[in-house]
Amino acid sequence: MTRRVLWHVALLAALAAMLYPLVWLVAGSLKPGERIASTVGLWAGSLTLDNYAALFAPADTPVWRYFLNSTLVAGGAVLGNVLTCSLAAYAFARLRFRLRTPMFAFMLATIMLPQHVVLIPQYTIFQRLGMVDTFWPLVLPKFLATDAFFVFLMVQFIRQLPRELDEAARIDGCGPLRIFLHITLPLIKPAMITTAIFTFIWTWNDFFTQLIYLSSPDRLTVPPALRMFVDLQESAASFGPMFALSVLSLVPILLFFAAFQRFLVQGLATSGLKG
Amino acid sequence: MGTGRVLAGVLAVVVALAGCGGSGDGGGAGAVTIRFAWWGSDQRAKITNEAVKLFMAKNPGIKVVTSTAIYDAYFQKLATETAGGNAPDVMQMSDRHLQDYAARGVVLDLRPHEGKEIRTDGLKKEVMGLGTLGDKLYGLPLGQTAMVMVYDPVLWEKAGAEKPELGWTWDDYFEAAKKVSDHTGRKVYGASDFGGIESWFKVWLSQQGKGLYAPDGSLGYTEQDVVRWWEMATRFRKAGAVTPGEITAVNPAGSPVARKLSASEFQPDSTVAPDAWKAFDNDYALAPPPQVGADPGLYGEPPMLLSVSARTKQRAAALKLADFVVNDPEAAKILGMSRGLPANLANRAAIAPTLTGAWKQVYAYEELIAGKVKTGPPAPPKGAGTLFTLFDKYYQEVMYDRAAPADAARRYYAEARQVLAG
Amino acid sequence: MTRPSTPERTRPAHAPAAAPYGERSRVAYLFLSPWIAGAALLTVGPMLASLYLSFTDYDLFTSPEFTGLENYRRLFTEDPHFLAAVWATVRYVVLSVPVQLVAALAVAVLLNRASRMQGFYRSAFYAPSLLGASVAVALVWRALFSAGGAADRVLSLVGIRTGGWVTDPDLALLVLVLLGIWQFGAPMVIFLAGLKQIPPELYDAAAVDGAGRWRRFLSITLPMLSPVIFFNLVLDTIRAFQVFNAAFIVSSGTGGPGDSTLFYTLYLWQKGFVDFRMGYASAMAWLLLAGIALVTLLIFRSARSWVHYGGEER
Repeated sequence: MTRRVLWHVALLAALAAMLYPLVWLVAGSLKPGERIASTVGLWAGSLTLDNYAALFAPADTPVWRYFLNSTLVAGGAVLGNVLTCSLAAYAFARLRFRLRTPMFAFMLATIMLPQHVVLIPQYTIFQRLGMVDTFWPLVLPKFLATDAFFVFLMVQFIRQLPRELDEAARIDGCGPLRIFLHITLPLIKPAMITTAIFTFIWTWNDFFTQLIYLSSPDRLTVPPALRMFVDLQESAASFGPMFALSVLSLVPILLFFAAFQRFLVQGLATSGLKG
Repeated sequence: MGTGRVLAGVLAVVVALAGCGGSGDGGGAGAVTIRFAWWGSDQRAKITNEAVKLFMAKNPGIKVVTSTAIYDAYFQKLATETAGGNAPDVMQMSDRHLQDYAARGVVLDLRPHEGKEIRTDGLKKEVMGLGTLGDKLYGLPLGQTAMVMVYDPVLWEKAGAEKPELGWTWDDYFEAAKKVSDHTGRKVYGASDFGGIESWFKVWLSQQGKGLYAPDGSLGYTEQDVVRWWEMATRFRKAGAVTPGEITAVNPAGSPVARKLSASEFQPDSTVAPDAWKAFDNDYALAPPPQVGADPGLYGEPPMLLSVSARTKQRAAALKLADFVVNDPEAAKILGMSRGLPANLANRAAIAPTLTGAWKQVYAYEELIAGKVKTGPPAPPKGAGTLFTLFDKYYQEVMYDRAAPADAARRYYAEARQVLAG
Repeated sequence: MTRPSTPERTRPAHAPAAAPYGERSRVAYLFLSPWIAGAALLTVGPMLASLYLSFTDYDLFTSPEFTGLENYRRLFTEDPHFLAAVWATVRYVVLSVPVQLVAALAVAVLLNRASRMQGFYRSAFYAPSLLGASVAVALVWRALFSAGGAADRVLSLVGIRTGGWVTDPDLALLVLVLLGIWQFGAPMVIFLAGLKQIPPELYDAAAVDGAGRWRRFLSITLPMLSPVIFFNLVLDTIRAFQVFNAAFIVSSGTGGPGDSTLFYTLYLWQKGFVDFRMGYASAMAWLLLAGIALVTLLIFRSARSWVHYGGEER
């Protein structure tokens, strides 16, 4: 009994320490701007919504615009990844073709490839196409299944499915496309959901690509918009809204996490163990 | 999952992307949108936005979207925007970066528009040179500034430090600052460490008849000059006359003076905000820099330039805004001394009697030194922007006692030469 | 792979299972067409292009000019910031990865027992891994560890005055390391899944032999878990070499104070996208790839001596 209590106490204490910065962030967004950085505690003597009000004050580019932009980019990325990664995964897992082995090996290798190696030519391509400062460079690659990690995840998942179903369907005269649409797709829903969630969260958090590709104020997504606050001469006046926007920027991630954590944790464990 | 639904989703996103990826000029009928960006403080942002509002009221067909950032971030961002062919239509430009951006074809030559959309006849001649490269005019002067020392006269008097007057020396400064530090038990230091500030190194060089750059664009000083400058700063620091590293380091709460940890600081007088000393019961004063010899080494030069993007799609509107910021008398009243003395002499005379608070002091300071200031050097060579940052970066090693001045100076100098070589 | 034992039906004549390629190959390539396009246009092509660019002087605005090994020579002989960046990155990897993995393993072991609360704990510890890469959390870190910030105040209670970690060249990197360690949830979840696959009989047998907790951990848990440790180590190391956001936000894109937080990717960004030295940045990218490949190879090599694959799986 005491052991159990000790166990909970230890874990809760560790958890409290871990989550403190996040709680401090939320509490900070409700403190008067000039006291945010210097108060260790969660309570700074008064509670205020001023920071949020300041954030939503009329501006050239209203705050909701950043969220809309982020949602469009993340939404496009999710769609692209789910669609094209599942197609590619099906081919790798179920179809036979001449270049299968080298292509699969190549796909696996690209999981480890640092994006910086392709960064500059990619940037040049998009620049020549006049696509810099649009959402295309952020979304288009996802429609070309460049996130090899998710292809791999789905390959692993499809391989676990019983082949009998495919065989039966084929014997009934179904072509690969119909097998894919009617048999495989419904069965790999969990993998697709995992892909969708991770793609959403990673895209939502992504800063580097958005930093180099987006610049017009009305096309900024949330992360570079947040960075604008860092770039202002820091003062109480900018600190408050910065905290408020930080909190809001994390809300979609937390919501997704709360709703789908079961899939997330499973998906992560699967990708790690079945490699 | 219905294929139809997926397709509908794809379509929706594609449409949305296309909508947002367009040229972005979807304003109302006839309305033109231009972007105007600058760097600087909150204060400057507030004031500039006011002036922009006036511009929009006077030109209902033009919408101006503004953005602001601190100096380093401003140029990080401008680089990104330039790469995408998307620089702001009107942008504040630093002389240190002018050659880079002119070479890349980012900024427009204003010469063909001079005397037409852009009026320069009212501008002080001596400040026009900085934005000129060869016979091309890439930047309009946004005011005229000189370096200044701000200090807390009350504390200096209490500490028995000698009042800084035109002609005082660096040794006087050392003594005075040390007295203040000792008086407060180093709770408030006599001065903020100045070793990493290239603009002050420039003043110090100028006092000895040298400059940051030689006319041919190479370095205008020797490695030994850097050693001497950093050794002087180190002498100040070791004696407790200036702030130690952890106080001098960039801090979100502001400079050491703003945090009341130092009683004097060097800055361009264009960065003095109108209510800069509210937190100090307005008991602050301006003083000329300490000298090496007979020359205070001050330049009267634009704190920054105003450039127009060469690729702007709204050239007429951009030129109009640029001219407005530099020449409009009503704008001048709003902008005040937020970028130093107005470059337009009529505006300068007009705003003088209206100034109050810190700006009044800045004006008085400019009058005090008026006979002593030299015309600034021409626009520095390519790479000057990088050197500005490097100078501070290497001094930080000295400041934290991680490198001796001679060692850091040697490495700085070697790298500086490399940067200029390209 | 076992074949289904369903009764054989007559195969449609046009789809002989024995014919390996041809028609079905074409279908496969159809499925793969987005991936093939992406691999060719956005991976292989750009990789070759950046390899070429790494031997050139290229500023994005004018055509690249071939300069041979000049970029590489400069990196190694003339650029002190490059070496500083390598050093800062290596220090970050060496400090953050092992501690993060140890923390992940410790909490996973602690969590690995029957409890209704386990799901909650697992999710709660995992949350920082999802949030940690965001700009928002980096901003929080920056605020917490600034001069006069929370960390400073707590430490001054015990008499230590730091005057701001973020601006201290000795401590700034530590701020980033702490942020890295804070995200131990992801490897933890994988460890936890691994722990669940260890057959309980092994522990029972060891307990009968009188082995204590620690002994059992050393002789059963660690070896049984070694493939998972290996997996996490590889993944985390590769990830840590490429950290960007935190260093960018905490140092406002400068990598300061000094070059103490000038992570490799940050310097690459500065060279490429602020100074427009795209050829130079490409050379840096290829060196990064080589470095990561080398480190991964070393980990793989070392794995032979410490990774034990369980009996029935292989």
